Amino acid sequence: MSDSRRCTFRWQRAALGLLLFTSGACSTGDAAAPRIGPGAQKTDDAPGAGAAPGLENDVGTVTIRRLNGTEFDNTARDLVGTTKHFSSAFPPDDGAEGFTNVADALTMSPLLFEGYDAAAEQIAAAAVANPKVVTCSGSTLESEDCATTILARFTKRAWRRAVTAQEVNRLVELVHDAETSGLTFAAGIHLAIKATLLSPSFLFKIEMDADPTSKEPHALEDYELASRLSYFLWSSMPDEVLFAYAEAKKLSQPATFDMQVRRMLKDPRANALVDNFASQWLLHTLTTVAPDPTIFPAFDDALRTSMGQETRAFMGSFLFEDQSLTDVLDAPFSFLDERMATFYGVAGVHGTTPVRVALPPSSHRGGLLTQASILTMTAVATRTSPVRRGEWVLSELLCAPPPPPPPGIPALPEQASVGTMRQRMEEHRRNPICATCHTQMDPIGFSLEHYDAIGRWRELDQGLPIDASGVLPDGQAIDGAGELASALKADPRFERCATHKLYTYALGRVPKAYDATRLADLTSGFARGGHRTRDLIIDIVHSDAFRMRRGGE
Amino acid sequence: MSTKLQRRKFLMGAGTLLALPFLESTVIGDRTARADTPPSLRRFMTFHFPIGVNRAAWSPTGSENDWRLGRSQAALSSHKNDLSVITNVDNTSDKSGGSVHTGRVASLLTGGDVPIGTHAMGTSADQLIASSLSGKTRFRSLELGTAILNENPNHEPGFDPVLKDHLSWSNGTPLPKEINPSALFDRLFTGSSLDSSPSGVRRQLQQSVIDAVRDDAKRLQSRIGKNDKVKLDEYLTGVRELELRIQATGGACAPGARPGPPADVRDRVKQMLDLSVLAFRCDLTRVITFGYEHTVTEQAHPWVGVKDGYHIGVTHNQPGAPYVAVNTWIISQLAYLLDRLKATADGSGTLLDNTIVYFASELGEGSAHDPRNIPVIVAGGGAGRLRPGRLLDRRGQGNANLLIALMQAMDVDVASFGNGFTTPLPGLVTK
Repeated sequence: MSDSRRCTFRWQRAALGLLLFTSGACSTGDAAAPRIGPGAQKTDDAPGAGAAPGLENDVGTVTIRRLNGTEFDNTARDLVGTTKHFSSAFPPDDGAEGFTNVADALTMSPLLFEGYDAAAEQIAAAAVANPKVVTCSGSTLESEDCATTILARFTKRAWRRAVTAQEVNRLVELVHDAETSGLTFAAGIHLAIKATLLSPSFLFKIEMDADPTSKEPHALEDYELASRLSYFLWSSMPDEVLFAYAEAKKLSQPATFDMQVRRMLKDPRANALVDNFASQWLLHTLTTVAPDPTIFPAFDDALRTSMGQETRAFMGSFLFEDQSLTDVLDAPFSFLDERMATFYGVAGVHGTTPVRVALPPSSHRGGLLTQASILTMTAVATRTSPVRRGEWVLSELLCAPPPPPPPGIPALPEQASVGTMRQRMEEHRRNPICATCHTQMDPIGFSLEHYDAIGRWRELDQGLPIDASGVLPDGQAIDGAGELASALKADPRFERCATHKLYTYALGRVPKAYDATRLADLTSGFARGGHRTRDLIIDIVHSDAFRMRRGGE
Repeated sequence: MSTKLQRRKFLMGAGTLLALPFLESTVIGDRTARADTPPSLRRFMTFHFPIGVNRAAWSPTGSENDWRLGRSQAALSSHKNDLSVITNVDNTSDKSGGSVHTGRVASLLTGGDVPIGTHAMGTSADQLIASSLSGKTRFRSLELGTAILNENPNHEPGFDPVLKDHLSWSNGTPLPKEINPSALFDRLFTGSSLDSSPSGVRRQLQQSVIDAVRDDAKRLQSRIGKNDKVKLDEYLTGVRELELRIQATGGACAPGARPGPPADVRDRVKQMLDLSVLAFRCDLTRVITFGYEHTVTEQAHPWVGVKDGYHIGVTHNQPGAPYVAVNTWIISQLAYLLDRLKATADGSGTLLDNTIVYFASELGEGSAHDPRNIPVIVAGGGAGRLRPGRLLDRRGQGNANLLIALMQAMDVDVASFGNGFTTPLPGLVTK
């Protein structure tokens, strides 16, 4: 009963325009309820899966987007050459759908603005010491030419758009004011640059509509397009090449656009896709997970780092090489440094840089779900958690998160901690309210029980042999990580989920109902082309939603 | 020549470009007034802790004036007359359903209803109080904690993760918490570059930077959409708060030693509570919101024999003795705060006499995700507005009604609060 109430509620929210991932949790009692989103729809439902008629051409609108911490640091780096991590002093960015580049979740607070003020002071100091920024010297008390030259160029790059003479003059005034008050020309430039860096034009990615109230789609202006590309692919500002094409209004020409996208993907800065997109998607809690040191003395921060490096390098090979993304689920290779290789029992790897290694059967590894990073992140402090592992797979790889336990479930009677984790969980599942969701999560988690809470292979749990078998909700019997990987590889929700994640990250907004058709098209293109991520990236940036926008919200 | 003259005029005039109410509050604020007769400055502090309590161990017994603390409240025995325990208050203003943690956190201080597809939560009680005191202290309010929830996406599908870990909200904008004690110390006492006792000229130049960026924002404002304007308003609030800080004169108050990196979360709590007391004593702010961990924390508490993570490992899986052990420890941290406030002289009494401490959790019996009968303690004298030392059974009252009463004690009257609450919880606050 409470289940059907929740289903109704969830569907109502979807109807309000959110493209919701409904889970299969309520499917037993509510099979007829219409659903959208990758979590619920099967490919064969495709005709019903698109956007409502009339909405397919809605390209959507992105709220002005504050640079997140990483983007701020990278932009400062590319602007003045400083490599400081200013954002480590900022409050952490909030996110949505797993990513911290979603406009609506990126709020501004007085605490953050204080952080910007302190960072701007330091970036301005780096700028005035950089001869590429301060290209002349002079005094505004005599002539404003030099200040105008410096600030016109700097502001155009910092604001990532054409600037007006009026805007530059306002900054030159600051230099003049400083000099009038007895400060040096350099100190005046420092002040003006600081103002540039505290301006909303620097701190936000701003896109304009000729008419902010009109819902009519229009193409992005060339500078705006340059920023969309650079922040998606590089997590930073456009470079001089993009700026030059933008200034000449040529970036939006299809051939130029395509050529630039391919150039950008080959640039080392595209590694930002691994560090930000893939890490946020898959390694979100690795930095905060805290296994109990008395139970797992083998875990330390160096191991945490090595675990993260493995998964990042592994994902990098899929983002930039011609491999099917579905192979991440069962790839017989990985990227290990010496510490990880030792941890897995793989011989012959030395040093701290991860290298590509063929995984021997004795390592019991193959694919993302056998990587220690994922296995550790999804455990709790003292033990494995089949529930968390199951929930993680459903949420992150299939975009089908199970609902949380409903309110008011009576507390479980306290039980003596005896038996394997699996035996204790089976007890839990006797409660029929709990069983609805746990039948989805638990078999996935159980199949990974051979890996302990920091990802080590084990044959026994509490001295008893491990049973890694289970039955997935669709009736498929699996036993162990390998068979789980095969089942996931065949699940059409994985390709839909990957498309959804990349689309969200690319646009910096949560997909809405009107994106459904576009997402379905992108997913089928992705599948047809053999699940190559690079091709999906190219398809996304060519889509209307990426190249166009509208007002009206 | 003439433009240069104009510019000089602009520079010299920068200070006077400020709005009058602001000038009033900084120049004629109570810092100068205090030199003559020290008025009783009233402070408001929230101490939030996550995932409720084992209710059997928490529940006090007896009647309003003849009562005994609950078992897990033992650490408060020396403060029994400094506080009132309020029972049967519900945190149920959120009617969205489907969320067992998110909605309870987001509505605790806002009395609100969790919005769908957005994170706007209106304005929380602490921020309404802070607004009424704006300009009187260097910091409008402080938002402090010991951990930041790094859960994204929200494990409660469809709900914005932002809602799950923010107690303080200002016009729909969540206010992030500072969890690093040494960074907080720097912010309070050394501050950013702009705070280092600027000379008149320097301050004016800093003001001119502020004026320039505000001009940029205003130019933009007329050319962007509705949602964009919300973001720009958040930005302008940041600009305004920075401006206030530039103009405010630093309080003469010995800060003591800068805290080092905390050894563990116990140390972090102590440092944050010590800095809170210091910030009140130095009158750097009058509103503080402190949160211990967050609503799905897996913090272990081995010093009380609990090695399992708190949310799943304790509140769900071991809601008996281990849950009580952690509850008892958390309550002992409230006792520590009250000790410190009571040991600090303020006006003609102690800081505790002049402070309202609101101690609460978003859930009642956490193991069942029950938002009814949440644990609430209101401590301190509130500069004469509270009559502590009582056990108040307020069945049927919402936590939002309680907050309306506490806001009244802070001289903030609201016609309607949160999700349509209008009346104060009776019998708590004296006129």
